[in-house]
Amino acid sequence: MLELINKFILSKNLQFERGEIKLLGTNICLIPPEVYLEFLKELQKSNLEEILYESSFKSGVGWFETISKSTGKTDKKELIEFIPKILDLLALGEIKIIDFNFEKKKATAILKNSLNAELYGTSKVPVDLQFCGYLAGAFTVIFSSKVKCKEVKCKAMGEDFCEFTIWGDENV
Amino acid sequence: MFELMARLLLNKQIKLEEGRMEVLGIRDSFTPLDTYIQIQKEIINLKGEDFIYQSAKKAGFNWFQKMAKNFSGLTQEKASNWGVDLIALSGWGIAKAEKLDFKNNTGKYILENSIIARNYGVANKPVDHLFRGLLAGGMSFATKVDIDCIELTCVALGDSRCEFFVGPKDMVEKYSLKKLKF
Repeated sequence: MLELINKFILSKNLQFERGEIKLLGTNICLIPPEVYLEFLKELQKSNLEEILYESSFKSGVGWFETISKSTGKTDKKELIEFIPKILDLLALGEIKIIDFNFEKKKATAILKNSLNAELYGTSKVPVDLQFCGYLAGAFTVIFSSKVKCKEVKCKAMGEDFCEFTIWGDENV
Repeated sequence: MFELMARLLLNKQIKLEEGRMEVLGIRDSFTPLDTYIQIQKEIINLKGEDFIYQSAKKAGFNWFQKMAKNFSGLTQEKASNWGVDLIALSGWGIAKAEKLDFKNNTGKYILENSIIARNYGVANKPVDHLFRGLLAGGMSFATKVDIDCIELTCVALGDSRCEFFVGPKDMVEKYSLKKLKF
């Protein structure tokens, strides 16, 4: 992670200027994770937590399209190797794509050390809605077709790690 | 900003490993700006801006509480300076404290180049609810008084910079945006 940050700083793909942080042409910022935790817990009270998934998905698509353009990485195989590294930089946990099928537009990813699950404590439902949205956005760009993502295992529910299933939206 | 980041990295006050990032001993994460703005807009549509503010205020209080556990002797002044330094590191713009009155627990803060305000799009009210919430929460912890914060001017409304007033809840309630004199 640190190695990649150094590489981006040296290549000016990570810039710090006038209070801004730009990663590969996109503004990013540090927001205390407690803020999302509060959003999530409060939104859950009125069953509106999907806002976090949908917002992360929409912005994720734009973000990964920008990254794809700015790095010139448009090949699916290149993107599937590169995008997890970018997601790792957000520090929401350590991501690994364990399975993917370009033709069927399906994939499986796991997240170790999930920040949200760690902060949330015990939950009866998965809590990584934001990360789930980013994955859906990332794979929508990789597959060039809208996908959905669902967290099927979550550390907050007592699992060792979080697991996500991604599938083509037309199959829903 | 870059210097501060480099200094923290050198002093091992930023740790990066196995998908984790710890800043001053507390786990943190990055968010693409567009994601945050999208979330804020959706939440405001459904729940109102106070939802964002109160959530951020609670989070700011909890964050400073954690900091106080990790670093003993966190005074009001230190908390204020740390807050400003951390915002410099966070990529929200350039924060400055002005006219701080520790006796009456009031203050004026400036956020120059607020990236949320600059990128928010059309707005008819100030938009930096996250910043003012965190500021209020942090100050509430540091002063042991329920502190609130209002945004007086905002770049999203065409002002040249974002200005904030912090003070005890009852004092802030008395002021309206236009009548405030500080």
